[in-house]
Amino acid sequence: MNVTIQGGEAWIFAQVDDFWERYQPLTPWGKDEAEARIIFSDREVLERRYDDIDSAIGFMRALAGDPSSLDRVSYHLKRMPRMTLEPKGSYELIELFQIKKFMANYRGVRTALGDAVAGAFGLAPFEPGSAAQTLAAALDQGGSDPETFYLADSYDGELAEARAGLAAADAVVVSERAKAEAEARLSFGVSFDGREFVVAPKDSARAMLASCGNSGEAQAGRYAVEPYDDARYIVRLLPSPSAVEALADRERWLAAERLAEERVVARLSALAMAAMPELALAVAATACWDRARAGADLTLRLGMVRPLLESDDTRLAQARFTPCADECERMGLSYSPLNAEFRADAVVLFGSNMGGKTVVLKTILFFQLVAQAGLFVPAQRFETRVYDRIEYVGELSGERLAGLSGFGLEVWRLIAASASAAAWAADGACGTGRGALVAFDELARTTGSHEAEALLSAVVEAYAGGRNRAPGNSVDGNGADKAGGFRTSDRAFFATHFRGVARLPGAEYRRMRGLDRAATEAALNPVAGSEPEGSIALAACGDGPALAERLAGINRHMRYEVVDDDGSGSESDALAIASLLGLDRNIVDRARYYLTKDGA
Amino acid sequence: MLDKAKDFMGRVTFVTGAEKHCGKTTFMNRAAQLARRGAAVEGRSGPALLTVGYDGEARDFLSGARKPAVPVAEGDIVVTTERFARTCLPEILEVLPGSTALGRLCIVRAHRAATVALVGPEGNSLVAWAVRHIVEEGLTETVIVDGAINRITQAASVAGARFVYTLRVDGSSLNKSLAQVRRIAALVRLPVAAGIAEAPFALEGALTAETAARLPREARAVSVEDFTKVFLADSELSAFLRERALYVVRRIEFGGFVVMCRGLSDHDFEARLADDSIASLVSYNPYEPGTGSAA
Repeated sequence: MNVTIQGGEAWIFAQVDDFWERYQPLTPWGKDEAEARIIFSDREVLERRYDDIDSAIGFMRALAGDPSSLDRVSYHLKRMPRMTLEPKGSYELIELFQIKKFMANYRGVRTALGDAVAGAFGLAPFEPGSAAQTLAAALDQGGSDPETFYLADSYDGELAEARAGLAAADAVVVSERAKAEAEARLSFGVSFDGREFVVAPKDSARAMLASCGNSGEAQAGRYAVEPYDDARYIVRLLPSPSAVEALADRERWLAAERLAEERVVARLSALAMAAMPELALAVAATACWDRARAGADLTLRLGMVRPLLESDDTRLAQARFTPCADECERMGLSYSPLNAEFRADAVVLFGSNMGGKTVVLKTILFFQLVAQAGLFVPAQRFETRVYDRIEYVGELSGERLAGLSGFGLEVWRLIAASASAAAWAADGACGTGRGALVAFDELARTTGSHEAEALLSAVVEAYAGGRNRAPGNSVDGNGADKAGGFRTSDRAFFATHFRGVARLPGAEYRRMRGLDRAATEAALNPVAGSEPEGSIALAACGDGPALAERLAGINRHMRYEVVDDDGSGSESDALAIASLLGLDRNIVDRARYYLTKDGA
Repeated sequence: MLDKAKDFMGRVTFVTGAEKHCGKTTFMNRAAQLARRGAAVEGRSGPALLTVGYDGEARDFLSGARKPAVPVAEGDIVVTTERFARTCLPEILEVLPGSTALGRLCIVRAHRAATVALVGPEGNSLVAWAVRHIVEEGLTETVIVDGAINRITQAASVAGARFVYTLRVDGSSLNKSLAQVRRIAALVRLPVAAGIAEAPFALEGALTAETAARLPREARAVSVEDFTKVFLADSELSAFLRERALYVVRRIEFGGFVVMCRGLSDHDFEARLADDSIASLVSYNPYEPGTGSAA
């Protein structure tokens, strides 16, 4: 079953759009799919897409020394127009043009790819005698170029005859006009020089008017005259009797031309309708190649790898969360790729402020979303499995909901996630029992720590029981948990700084390594005259180093690594971070005093 | 000035104006005619003609003719709907993205002389897309755009384009027209910020009376992206320029004014303008053959 879902809030939280803009299909259909941001939950579909990207990579590598061939493929893909694939009795000229242009570029792509690659992607040739080939031959009659189209005379004998008649009539009109212009110039000194009308001095215009006959008979002569202002008249040339005859002929030939054109369009439309099934297949194959090429191009540019989708565990090696890596590069900060392995259904990740736990959460969602969008991922290795849903529960930038406090909003989102899981499970047509990947960022951060830890513990417990829970115990027939609504095959990640969350069987507890305390201490308290590299003088806000420099200091001393957490430690880096950010030293010292006094 | 083929050949010209019925289309027709002749002499492609949006006005101010009426010749490139182009036996070269109420727009090559109705894209980005396509695909180097009313911004949407500014002037509108001419002349002459020793204060967006009032007092030099971002009236602009220097990041080339006088003579207009440096930028009615007329 090919189930597709939208990335939704997880997509936003994981900043996938920052990466997605680099994925650049070239055809209208490839662009449409990219714009839809589809997440697939059918492993077969994903593996097929990965295979396609692998094939495209092979093709691109083989042609690495011949960039013009690669350019030719892109050139033709870019020129493919959006076109109708609807069978209908009559197509507009624009639609026939688009079909012709598509077919010309389709042939171009096939030629540039070669038979083997084109065949592998289903880009079949239009066989001689086929409806598509017949249509292509007919459309090629109309236009000076394989990519342009008009109703050429050669389509219909009567069309050619009508146009010849039109040309003859036009020639008479032009000739008569030239004579009239010459007469106006010679007789009255008024030069039309191809102008439709002229603004002439009153005297000249009056003389021209007089030449037409007595007053009131101007329209019967060669000139139409009307006042422009009190010193000038507008003068137009009127057609001669021969020109009037020619114009009448022209109208007759125009009517004949219209009838002939309608006949030609009807014939071409019938050919187009017959060719539509072949064209639809050609478009589908083109779209398949286009997205594979775009995926391969991205893979080669970013050094990405194929995700491995058969692991119940989540393993990341040298995983680069590119939105963060790019931002670090812009800010001159170093970025540490993620190396981690997660096995449990509930993973709790502790860490101090600015220690990177939210980035780890984003990284996990980012990788899962990109992999289930059918693309390779920027890592040395990424092992996971396919989830039916990928969700995020937490705050999104600037989000508000009328009537709810921060905590109210959090709970509301938690309920929504639970309801979503239950609805998904209850819908027999949806899902494959692979559950959801859910990320919770600082759940219950907006309430008191005691109750927050209790709530967080309960939610962790709901997920941690998953795979170990006996069937039929607390899970309904659809796999939905009767108590909490979470499914047994879900995997949840919780980023939190609440150290008091319950230690539960079936859950994994990890933490960010945090600040290198020795180096930080040295930076915060440098011995006069021997400041180590990266030292930051303490100063009140606004009086010390700029924010960028302070962030660089934190970045230098922070170890962005995921390590096991045995629950023994309780220290936070919050005060050190505050110092590094430049908080007044007296306040930090007093905070340390209270920390020691209450916690010692 | 603006009366020879070379004034239009090999460049993109936006014909703009301050109001409806100011003779833009009529001027474009004359300019196209000259460009066509020049192209024939030099063996080059004829002009491309397009408009911005659709002008539903029934009659042109200058000619009194029913609008829209744009004569095209065999070989001209035209942007309009396929239906409106049918009279010129159009060869469809490209279809523009999107659609209009009057149908899909396409770029066509005329296979015979005819009079067509032009319909163009509304947005600057699509105008730029169409112009770029025409030039980059080598369809022609000469493009003439009938501009939307009161929107010079469209000229800024195409790199390297220039614009001409058409006005109709009669006795009752003389003072207003003179003010418009002086304002545009001042704007197109704004110096470019690049190369200034001390970087001016860069104003994002439009310079209006409100944004001008909020500028830092110490910002004695201010830059805007281009002159189309200046929305100060003539008197406001003069007052602004007395206190601060104003620069543009990007200059938009100016082709000149096309002034069509009615009820007063060209000489009267020039006398009242009383500024030789601006007068050198002014051409007069292209349909009134004689010294000083445009096209």
